[in-house]
Amino acid sequence: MDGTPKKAAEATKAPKASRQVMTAYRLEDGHVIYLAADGSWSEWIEEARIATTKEEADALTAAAKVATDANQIFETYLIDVTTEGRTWPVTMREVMRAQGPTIHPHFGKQAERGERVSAVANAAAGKRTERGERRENREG
Amino acid sequence: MYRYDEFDQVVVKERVEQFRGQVARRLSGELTTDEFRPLRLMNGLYAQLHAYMLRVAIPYGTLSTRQMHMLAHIARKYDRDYGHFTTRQNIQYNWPRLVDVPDILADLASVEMHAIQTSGNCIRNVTSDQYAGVSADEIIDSRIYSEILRQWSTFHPEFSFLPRKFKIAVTAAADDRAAVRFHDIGVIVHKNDAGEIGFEIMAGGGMGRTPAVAPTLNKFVPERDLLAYCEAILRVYNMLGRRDNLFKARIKILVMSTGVEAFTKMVEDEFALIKDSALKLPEEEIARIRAYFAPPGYEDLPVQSKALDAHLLKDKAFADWHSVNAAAHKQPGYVIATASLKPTSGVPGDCSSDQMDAIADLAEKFSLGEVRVTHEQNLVFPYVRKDDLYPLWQQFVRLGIATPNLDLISDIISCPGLDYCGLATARSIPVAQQLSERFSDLKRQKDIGELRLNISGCINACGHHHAGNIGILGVDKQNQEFYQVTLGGHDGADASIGDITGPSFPADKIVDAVETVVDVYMAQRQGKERFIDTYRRVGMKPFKEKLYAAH
Repeated sequence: MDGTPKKAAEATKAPKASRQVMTAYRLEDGHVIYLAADGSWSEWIEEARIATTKEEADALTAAAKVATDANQIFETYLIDVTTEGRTWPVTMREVMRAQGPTIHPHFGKQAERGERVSAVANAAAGKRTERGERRENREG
Repeated sequence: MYRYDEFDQVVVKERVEQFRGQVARRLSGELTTDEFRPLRLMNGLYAQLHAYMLRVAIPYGTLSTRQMHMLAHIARKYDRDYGHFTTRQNIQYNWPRLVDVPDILADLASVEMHAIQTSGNCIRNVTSDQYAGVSADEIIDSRIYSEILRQWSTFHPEFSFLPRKFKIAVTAAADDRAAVRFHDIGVIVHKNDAGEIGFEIMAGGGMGRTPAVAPTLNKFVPERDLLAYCEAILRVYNMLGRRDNLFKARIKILVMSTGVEAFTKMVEDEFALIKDSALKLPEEEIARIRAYFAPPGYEDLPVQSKALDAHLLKDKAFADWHSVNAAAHKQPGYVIATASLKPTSGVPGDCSSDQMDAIADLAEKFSLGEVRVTHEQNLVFPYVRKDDLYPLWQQFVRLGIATPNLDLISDIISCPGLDYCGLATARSIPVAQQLSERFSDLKRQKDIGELRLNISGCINACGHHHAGNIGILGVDKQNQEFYQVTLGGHDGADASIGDITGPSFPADKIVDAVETVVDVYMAQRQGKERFIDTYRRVGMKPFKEKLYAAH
């Protein structure tokens, strides 16, 4: 990220017993992406591969390095997620990255998320509304 | 209006092609992320929270209709159909694809625009008085000096790698509309008793985590020495500014640590050495630049406009707007009109492609083809015939840019905040939206009167919260958005930094807190006293008592 850093990047956090996923930006368009369960990079955090051990987190980091070296992505780091209901970030900042700007839902990921995600995580849809949109009642 | 000279055109076009090559090499892997980063930043391309962000410079905030149409075209073709006018007279696109950026820059270059020096530790786009050249209260058109500074600072090799970014602001008006005392260098144009032009030069102002009002180094630097004096300041800063600590790298920290007197002496010593060098501004050169800003083709008009007066009597909504958003023009029969980008519930500074096109068309028809962008994130029509003001306003209404709130509580300056910015700790725009709703009643706003309300989503203070009469700073407290309130900031000639009221407020209490502040002001004020004057008279105590009464 450009400019004055506000605090140590999340990348430097040692993986805890918590759940983590690997995030990055796609080089070509700069969009937020996540390392998916099938090894591809997805725009949807719900599809991300989840690491629960240090070994699994290291594997995510190794896969991110391969994609970085192949000039597909940049700025890779692990983030903490919760998997209650569905995979969703823990910090406010990462929630924002996962869902798009709350003030322009029609321009952000939210607009595309609906259908795209319902197929993947249909059961979690109710949860998502609660989690993602409760924070910002202006989304309607 | 200023035009590129051939030199500018060649340089910018070359720069676009260089960047096209750099992007291609990045995509092919010849350049790594770290190698590419400074190259893209030198072309205004940031990596933000959701995507790349391209920041385009708008020198002295001035846009021709052609340029405004191009900004609309870029938003439509390459982005998501809107742009965001910033708190420093730039425009940002929030969703450009890297692969498209060379084409965007080429499109910009075709209308004499670019994204050079909108990022990095160099001298940034010079902040200007949006009424320069037209306001009734100015000594001279300050854009002449903004342009001289722009030409000098563009690609200045000695100042391409400063300890930190560097911002200059210029005003020539009694009412400082460029917040000059909150800049690294502030320039106020004066005229002495002999009628000669000179500059009061300040240095070491700024916002951020260590806000500072710039002290004056020299009260009257002769016109010919503008560049030599600025260069002397930059040299001292470049030599002594801290490079070991990012948070202490701005010139304000240097001025604070050396003391104003010692700092001024170093600058004056350096100035004495270089003032008779090539930096001395020749008369002819000043005249040449002045010619770029020659008054446009004004018509000879009577001071009064019968049409305007009639509409003011007939249409109350128009009269309300006129009393707030129209300003006195130096040319008889003309008026300055400000279109508000702060509609109730809107995003301060956002403008859709269609709005931009329509605004450009209106400027062509009603403002001699020119629009100005303000650091308050509004758009100024600088050359409106009084006879045309009513039909122009009707079109503003149609476009949703006629909110009559200039300098009132809902004319909120807001940074993008956590909705877009990778540095933000909390959102700022949703707070601005809620406040604009809470205070949407125009009568109430006018009763409250002049009140600058500024919001930043982090300590870097892009939303100018330190300079707001009421300032709001978003902070992250254990993963929750909280908002700190400051009172008494002001960016005029008597600039001051706001004082923190006390503990911050949770997101669902901040709007109430602001309303409490306003209620205390309304109860305390004497006559027509402005908020800032009441605050300076009564101090923090009554505000604090009410704000934290329930705690």
